[in-house]
Amino acid sequence: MTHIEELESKLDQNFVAIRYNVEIEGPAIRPENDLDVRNILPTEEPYKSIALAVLYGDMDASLSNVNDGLEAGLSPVDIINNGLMKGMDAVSLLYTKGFYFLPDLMLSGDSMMEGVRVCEKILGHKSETKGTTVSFVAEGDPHDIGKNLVVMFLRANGYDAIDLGRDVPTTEVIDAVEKYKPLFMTGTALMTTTMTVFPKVVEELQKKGLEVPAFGCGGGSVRKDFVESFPMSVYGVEAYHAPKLADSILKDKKTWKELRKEYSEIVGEFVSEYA
Amino acid sequence: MNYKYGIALDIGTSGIRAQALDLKTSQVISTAITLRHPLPGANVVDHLHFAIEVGRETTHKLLLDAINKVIKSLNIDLNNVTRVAVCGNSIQLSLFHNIEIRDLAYWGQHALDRLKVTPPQRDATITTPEKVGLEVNAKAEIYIPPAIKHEIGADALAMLFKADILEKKGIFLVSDFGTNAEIALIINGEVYTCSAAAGPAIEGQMIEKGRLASPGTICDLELTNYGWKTHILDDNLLTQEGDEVDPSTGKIISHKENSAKSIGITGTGVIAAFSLGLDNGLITLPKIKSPDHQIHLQDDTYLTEKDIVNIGKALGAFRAAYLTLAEEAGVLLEDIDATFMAGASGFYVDPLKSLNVGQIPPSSQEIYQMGNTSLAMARDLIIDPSLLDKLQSMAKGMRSKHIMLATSSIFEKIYSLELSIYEQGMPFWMYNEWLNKYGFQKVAPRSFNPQIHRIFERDIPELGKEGLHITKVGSILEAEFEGCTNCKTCLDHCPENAITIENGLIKVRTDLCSGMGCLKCALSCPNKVFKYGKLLSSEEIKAAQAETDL
Amino acid sequence: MKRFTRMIYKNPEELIFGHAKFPVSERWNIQFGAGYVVPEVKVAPQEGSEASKEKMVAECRNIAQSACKRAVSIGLPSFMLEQEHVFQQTNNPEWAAECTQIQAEILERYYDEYGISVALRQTPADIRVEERAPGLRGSDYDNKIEETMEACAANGASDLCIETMGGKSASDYGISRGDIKAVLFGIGVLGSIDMEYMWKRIVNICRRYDCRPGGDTDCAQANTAMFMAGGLLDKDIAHTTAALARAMAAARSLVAVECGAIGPLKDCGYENPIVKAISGVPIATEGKNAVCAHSDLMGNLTAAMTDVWSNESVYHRQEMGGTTPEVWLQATGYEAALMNTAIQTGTGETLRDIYTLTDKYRDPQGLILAYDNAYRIGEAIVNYGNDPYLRARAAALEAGKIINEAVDAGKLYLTRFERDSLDNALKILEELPMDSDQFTDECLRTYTRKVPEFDPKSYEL
Repeated sequence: MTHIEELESKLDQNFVAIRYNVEIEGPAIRPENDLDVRNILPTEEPYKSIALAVLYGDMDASLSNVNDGLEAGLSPVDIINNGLMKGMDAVSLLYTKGFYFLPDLMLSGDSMMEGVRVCEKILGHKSETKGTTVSFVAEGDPHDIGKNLVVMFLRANGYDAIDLGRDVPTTEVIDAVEKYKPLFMTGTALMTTTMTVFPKVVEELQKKGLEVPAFGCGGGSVRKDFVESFPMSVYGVEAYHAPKLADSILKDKKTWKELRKEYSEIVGEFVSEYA
Repeated sequence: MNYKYGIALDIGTSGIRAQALDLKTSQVISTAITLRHPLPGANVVDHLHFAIEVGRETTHKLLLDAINKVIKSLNIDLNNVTRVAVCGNSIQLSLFHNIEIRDLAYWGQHALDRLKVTPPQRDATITTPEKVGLEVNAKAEIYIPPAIKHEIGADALAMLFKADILEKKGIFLVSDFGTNAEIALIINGEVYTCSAAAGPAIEGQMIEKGRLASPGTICDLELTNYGWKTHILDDNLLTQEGDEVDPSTGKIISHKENSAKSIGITGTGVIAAFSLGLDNGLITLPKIKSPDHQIHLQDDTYLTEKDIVNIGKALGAFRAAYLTLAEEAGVLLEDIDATFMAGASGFYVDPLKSLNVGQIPPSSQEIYQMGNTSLAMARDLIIDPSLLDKLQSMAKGMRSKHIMLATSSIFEKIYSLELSIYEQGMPFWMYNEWLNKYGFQKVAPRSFNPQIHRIFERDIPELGKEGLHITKVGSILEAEFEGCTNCKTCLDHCPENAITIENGLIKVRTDLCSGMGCLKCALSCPNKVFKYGKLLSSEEIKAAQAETDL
Repeated sequence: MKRFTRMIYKNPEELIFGHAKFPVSERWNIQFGAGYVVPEVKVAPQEGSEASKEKMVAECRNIAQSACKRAVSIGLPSFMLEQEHVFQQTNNPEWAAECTQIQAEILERYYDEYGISVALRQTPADIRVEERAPGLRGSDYDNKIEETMEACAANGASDLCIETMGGKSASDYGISRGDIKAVLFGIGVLGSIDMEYMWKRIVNICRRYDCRPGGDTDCAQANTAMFMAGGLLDKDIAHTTAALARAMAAARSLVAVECGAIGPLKDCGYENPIVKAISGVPIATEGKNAVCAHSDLMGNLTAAMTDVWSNESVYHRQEMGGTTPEVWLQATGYEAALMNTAIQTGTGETLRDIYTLTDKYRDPQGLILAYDNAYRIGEAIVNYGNDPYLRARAAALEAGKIINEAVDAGKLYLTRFERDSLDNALKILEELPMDSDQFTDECLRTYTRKVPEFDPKSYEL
């Protein structure tokens, strides 16, 4: 031990200098070293690598890991549930912690979906999901960033989210409801001129005797009082609320009326619009 | 006395501006403006929506009523008016011209096919007072300049025309500072355009204490040694110094005698607060680090964290838009030779603060504040009507590419970064890293010594010897709804006190009503009989009355 | 020109304040690195004194007078006075001559009268402008610097220094954008080329007079990174990036010594400990007694192997304790006394280690300059000693390694910004070509376009 090492061993660094930036922000750690993430991530290979590729939003690695796993004879269902979805669970967790941001979520979501697609091809059918949802952007409206986020959050949480795209005519929405019998549907619009189709969609559904447990409406200039002026609907405030609403329909059999009443409770945070 | 006059008109989203010119001397005689648009609502989409719900005819009439009122206060003999030139965005000009607007209200083919809409050409047009209902000499010519493409209107053409950069070598950024900001990037005459839906926060709307620029509003803030000094608009819309306050508590540090009392804050004021707050750490996105999480200004004007997120997202739309243009065009923001700021907000905002918050590229070196270019181009047309042909060939011959932001994958990626910054507090260094990861350019750092060229003192340089007249606009819309029980729920729910009820006759003041962005009246109606679209102008009611009387 | 390919020091333990392998003697009986630390004071002329030669000469006289008076009042055995030129002094060699002469006269008088050991360092300003033709080489400004150097040497300066600006255009661009490649190009390649051009001439001048060629500092580049990195809470550039720039700066500032500079190296070169470990020349440094000039995060650590302890710079004005030459010489003088006491009482190593430990883990910038780590960076440099580009790159990579080791050992924690910036920079540095010409070609292509002020002709590229 050199002289300086001996002195250093006696010294508590924070006694002489505190790195306040680190104190405030927390030290940089690799995402997989977050304690809560560690609890989520699988420990055995190749699930661990598959989950890590999703965690890092590395599409190439995700695909090659999944292919390796399939070649090694693992079941596609196991790869999805024990690998890809675990990685995505960790991503969602880091997002709520404020460690990850939207673009991380988008990249990881893509990596996960690519892996799922490969697995489903082997499987020959859709993998089992929590349920099916349908999302669309109002007819005449091209603004789909909000819808894309909703779809991504739903998929990240294990839903088979059907994406109808932008500028979707009402008839197509009705057809999709008929075909998929979704657990939950979302409609988004940026322009006030186009949000007027939401009540028309509901009207058409009712005419055909169709129903969805809840129709989440949101985006740009869409407001709660407008959404609540017609039935079946619930005003969605943030894109990441969508899977929580879907979960409460799935697990607790909540109706659209209950969603409106218990929104804050269901999404688990204070929502000023519902205060 | 046989004076001949011309009238230059600018129909903006936030109001109408008119100027009378003496055709012999080309001098401005007088100016009249309104402090709001005659149609209910805060942005063009509200106006569009209103027109679709209430009907194009009614909307056109409301607009022309207002314009006729404005030109009456120009203080000239309207019988001697021989030329009128009008400029504005495609929506306003179409409403003025009373032509199809639905192609502007919907995107994509589905809605337009269903409604069987044929988009009009929107070429340069000369029309008559009778056709549009303008109360000037019947023989006067009315000039309507062309749109560049249907979604990029004559207002954008005016911006490019007045910046005079279409034939210059170099890279130029021209940006309008409105709710729907037209932005153009010109590279050696090749024009890339887009329209950023910045949102009404940029004009002070959707901000709790926000207001359009009007007397008593805080329009700028200045950093002092002890706090922030407010700049308030007085009754003549000129800036005056106000109190100096501690923004985290609202405590007055020094009171300005005879200062106008603050009734709210304009979009430029919010941008100023945002810029200063970010600089001194009072704002740490998305939070305000004061004891009650608000920024306090003079006379109980304050900003909430929600306001900060709203203005942030609006500014983010600007940055994402010009970055998208630069990426589409394959140029670096730092290579831009000059940045032009158009529109009233673009004139009154402090460019250094704009630059600081990223509303214009931080690397901007030469910055020009142009003021109201629409009105300026209308004046040019009055003085030289042959300009109309030139503008037509300029608009149609322009080598231009319009980037539809809503469908641009570049914009989607960048805008998600903006949301991350303003809603989640992603640090800016990470924003730049993401841009890099996506293969886009990073936002270059602040220019060391930006040069600001402010050519005039006001956004309208010359008011004329008769000066400025502020015209109050507003009409009454009326309806009797079948099944109305006179319960007055609509009246109670109207946040703007725009509704009165007399014997079952519902009257709505358009100058107060927030329109389609609100609709609390219709939505609150317990019997669901309040149909906003059934409201009619008093004139139409009278006409209908007259018909039945016959 | 002989490049350093081996370490002069064989063991980092030998690195300590007041001692250099190659001590330097100057007239007026002063030695540097010869077993004691010399305090330095440097005061900038007050605004307005540049209006005329007479005012400037009077100003310089007053500064020297005040410093000398205070030195004997508090009993300092030795001190160095440095005069850093303002533009007018360097641009008018006759001003420089008279200013130097009057300061030398005053110092000599005190030396004669009290026997106090003194030195007079003159530091002409690098007034060249890269973006103005003909650029850094052969312009009027360039010639004026040379004339002024000679005027100072001829009129009594005991040593000469300069802060050359070569490469600043590229490194500024890189620092402000976090573009580590541009930083490396600016410091490692362009800076080194320009130093060679400037220092061969300075050494030639000094040979003709009783005047020593002191040294250069990467103030224009690495200090810019340090200033922009700011305090712990600032985020303009990451402190890890600033640390890498500092390591590169050592490879660059070494060029002065390779051209014949013998030290003490210039005070604001925070990279000097690395250069000392490689070359054995005495160094001037600054830290806690330079807070009047700027804020760094290693106020004690920089004293650990200093030979001349400086206050950096302060305006000439009145403080409560006297004029600034008096006050700040007193501050550096007492600190030097502490070090000299430690040396003679056999506790020098302990004081050095205490100095080092107070700041070693305050910030990555200090960490890499701790003497043990400075030595490691020195080794990385001499490993590629013959290639200015490769050795600057190696210095940065070694600095990155040092930081990562401290992080892994749980001794230093980084924020995400610092972590990500370091990871990105190291990744880029690792992937750079191992061929210097290839790197230069790539950079010429990229940065002549991106950096309008950058003129390859100024570097004969």
